[in-house]
Amino acid sequence: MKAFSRKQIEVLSSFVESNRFSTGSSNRKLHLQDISPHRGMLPAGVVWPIRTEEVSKILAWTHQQNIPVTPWGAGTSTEGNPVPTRGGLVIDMTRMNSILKIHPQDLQVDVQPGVFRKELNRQVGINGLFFPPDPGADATIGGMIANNASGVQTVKYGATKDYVMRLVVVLPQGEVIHTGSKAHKSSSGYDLTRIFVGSEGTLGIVTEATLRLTGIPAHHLAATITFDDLESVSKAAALMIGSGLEPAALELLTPKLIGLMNREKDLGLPEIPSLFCEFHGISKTTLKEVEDLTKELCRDCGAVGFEFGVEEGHRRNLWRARHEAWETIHRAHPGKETIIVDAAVPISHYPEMVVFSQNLLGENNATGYVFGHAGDGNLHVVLVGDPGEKNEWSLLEEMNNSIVKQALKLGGTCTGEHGIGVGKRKFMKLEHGKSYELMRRIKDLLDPKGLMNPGKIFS
Amino acid sequence: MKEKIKQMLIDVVGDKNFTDHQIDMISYSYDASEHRHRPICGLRVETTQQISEILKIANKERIPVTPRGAGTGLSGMAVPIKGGIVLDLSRMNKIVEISIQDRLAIVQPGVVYAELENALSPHGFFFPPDPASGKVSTLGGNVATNAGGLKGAKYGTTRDYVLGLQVVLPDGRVMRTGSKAMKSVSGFDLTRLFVGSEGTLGVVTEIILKINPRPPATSTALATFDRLDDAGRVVSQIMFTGIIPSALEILGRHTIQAINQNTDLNLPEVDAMILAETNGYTAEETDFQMKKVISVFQKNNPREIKLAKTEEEARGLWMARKSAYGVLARIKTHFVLEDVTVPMANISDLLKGIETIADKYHLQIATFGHAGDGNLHPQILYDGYDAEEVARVEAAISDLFHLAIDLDGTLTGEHGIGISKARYMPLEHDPVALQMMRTLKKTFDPNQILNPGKMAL
Repeated sequence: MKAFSRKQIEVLSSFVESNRFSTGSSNRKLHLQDISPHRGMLPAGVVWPIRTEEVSKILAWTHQQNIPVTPWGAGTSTEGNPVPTRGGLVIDMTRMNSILKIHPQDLQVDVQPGVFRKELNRQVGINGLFFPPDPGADATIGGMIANNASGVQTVKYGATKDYVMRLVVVLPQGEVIHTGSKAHKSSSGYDLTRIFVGSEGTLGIVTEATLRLTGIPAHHLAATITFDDLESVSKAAALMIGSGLEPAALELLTPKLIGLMNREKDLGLPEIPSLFCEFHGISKTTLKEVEDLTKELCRDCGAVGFEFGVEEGHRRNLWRARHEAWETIHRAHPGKETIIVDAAVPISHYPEMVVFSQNLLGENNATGYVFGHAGDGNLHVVLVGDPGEKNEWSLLEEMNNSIVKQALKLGGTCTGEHGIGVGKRKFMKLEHGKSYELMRRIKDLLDPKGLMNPGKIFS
Repeated sequence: MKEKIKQMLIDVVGDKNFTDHQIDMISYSYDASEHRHRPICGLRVETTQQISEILKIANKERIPVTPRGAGTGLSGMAVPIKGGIVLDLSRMNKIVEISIQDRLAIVQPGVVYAELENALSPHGFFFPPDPASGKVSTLGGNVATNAGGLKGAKYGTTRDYVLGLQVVLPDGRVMRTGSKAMKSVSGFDLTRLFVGSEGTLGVVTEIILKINPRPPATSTALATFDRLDDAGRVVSQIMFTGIIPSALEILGRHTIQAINQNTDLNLPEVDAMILAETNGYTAEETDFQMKKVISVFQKNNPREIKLAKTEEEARGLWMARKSAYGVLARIKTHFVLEDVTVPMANISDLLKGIETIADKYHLQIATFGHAGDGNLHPQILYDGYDAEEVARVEAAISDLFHLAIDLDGTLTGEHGIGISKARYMPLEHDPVALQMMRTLKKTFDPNQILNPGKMAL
């Protein structure tokens, strides 16, 4: 879409105070790309609403004017989810960033969508509570809801969808809808809340949410466990889950990635297949029992080294290194771009997925790193290359396709936590068959003109 | 029903699985609610393909179809209020797969909750939602109502365990949602749209369920409180300690009195009684949690605290709670069991509000419920042959729903809307949300053949 007309700029400026609407090129350029290589089309303007009514007015008007709109949070997503593919208006939600009310007695908090995850946890932490979904990046709550974000602790605590109780959403034509309630459970009507969670901003813009919180665990125990080969490490992970151990994090790392992490952060880790795990418990003695059982299981799978009770400073460094894995890979390959595979499979198939992916890298002599949230069967493969080198990049695309196809064959999904965005649209029909069409109809119902975050989820 | 259509249906399911006998029509006319309506015929289906064929016929001929599990629903959702066909799913009762390693079970909708429990038990696993009707209710019905139960505070409800579904849409097309992966963010969450949709959007023919390892150790304690406020504070404070009891049940004064009048349990007649159960993988873990619960009891002026030392004593403590529904059901000719749910901190306000309503309408309302997730079951006891009392009951229910919504709650925590609560939907859901539900219904089922007359759709 081309630039706004003078008249359009006038109308948009009337919806918000003047410092909250911009057509300046630097502001527009800041909303062009998330961390993926998917670049959008330069938007015609950016608006920063602070009230639901403003969002409602803006959407009613953009709908009437046929202007594409794309909501924007922190821009930390990995599949082009908030990228304005058709230009138009970007609605940046980061100034709607109040924590409206903490209800410690109900273990709930009312928030606006622009609140950052870490800030939320800092504030509710004063009450001994936390919001568990942990994508690593300091995403906004709105973005986390849009993508149903999750991360290393999801294996124990679940994903964002498990913590959203109530939403206020502005629909693509400007109507305001309230979904869910503050009751801990409900069987009242269709579950509209969970239609919006994970819909990537294609059905509306969340302007308020009530989130469930949980108590900060009293004790934690971090450990690293090392193995001689990939198959053993992934088997151990699958066994830990199948046996009913409830790790709060269970991450698989492969030698090449550990090598990069050592080089950058001086961690001194052995560069062999490893598990980073963490256990949360109500007392030290329960954690001791968990430790013994974990050791026994891992030894049976051929573990060669254990470090339990990782000292606090080192523990933080390890998790920081894990969270920054993607950045570390980028820094090690300056000027390159990446494709991030995010497939998830039933845990019993995890070992074969890991081995399959690692072999694929070897066979194609490609640069890539295998790791993932082993505890919930979520595999990441970061493929590194140059989109300008057509042959190289299309080889990476093919590898991405093969891994996803393999995951689907095993009863899995093309994306465990990153969302479809732009990058994974090609897998939708393959994964969903007839239900793809039903999703499409739901989209058409709410957004008949296709203006709401266009070019995402659907091709 | 036209002979020709009847024959088409018989051709699909076979002679022996078609019925239009009066006696069967009466059986299919009710569930556990007060609603009654007879269908024209019942079809005992055995395959997804049959359901697909039947729905194609019904959709073409505009015949209402009401799916039915065990008929234990409390809101009339399996009552064929518009007549037509009852789709009896109780014979689709195979457990297709149990994969302990993947922590999932794949079942057909007619599998009874308890049968799955029995199948999982030897592996040390269980399926947590635990509805009170679990001995008879089917998993398909649990999915349709998003059933919950005693363990809701710690383990959530059915919704939290459904990974994927096979569904027959009203036009007969067969579709899958979700996957076997523990997490997925691929497209819209259609699975959770079907969970709790009370059979109005499609007929579920296969369910992928997440299962959990069963903690082998439990610890049980009971405390009584002279003042409701103290009991309400206990609930909030327990949940705030960070430990989540596997059950946290509350019984109000009228329930306790009724139990005393009808059993030999000899309970102290206090304002409230709270029963707590903690569980864990070791006795140490379980006791540790129970100690915290007890310390909260102690801080809030209990009349008495009893901690079970043996399993038998634990069963004894559970007796009062488990007998509540049955005892109350026998006191008068009729009763309604309500299901309002509020945020935990509002539990004592809800309990007090219920007493005020009982006084206002001179009704006997006995309350018990799942305090840990804010879900109370006020049971209104009345004489259904007394028109004047029935009118008072209606008015009291309306007040109760207003109260729950005023306390930031919901009309129903686990029983569903069905027919009983349909007209109160606008109280909880704003017009845009109701409109969206109706539009979704129309998109899935343009001819309104599937379970019509439910949920104010």
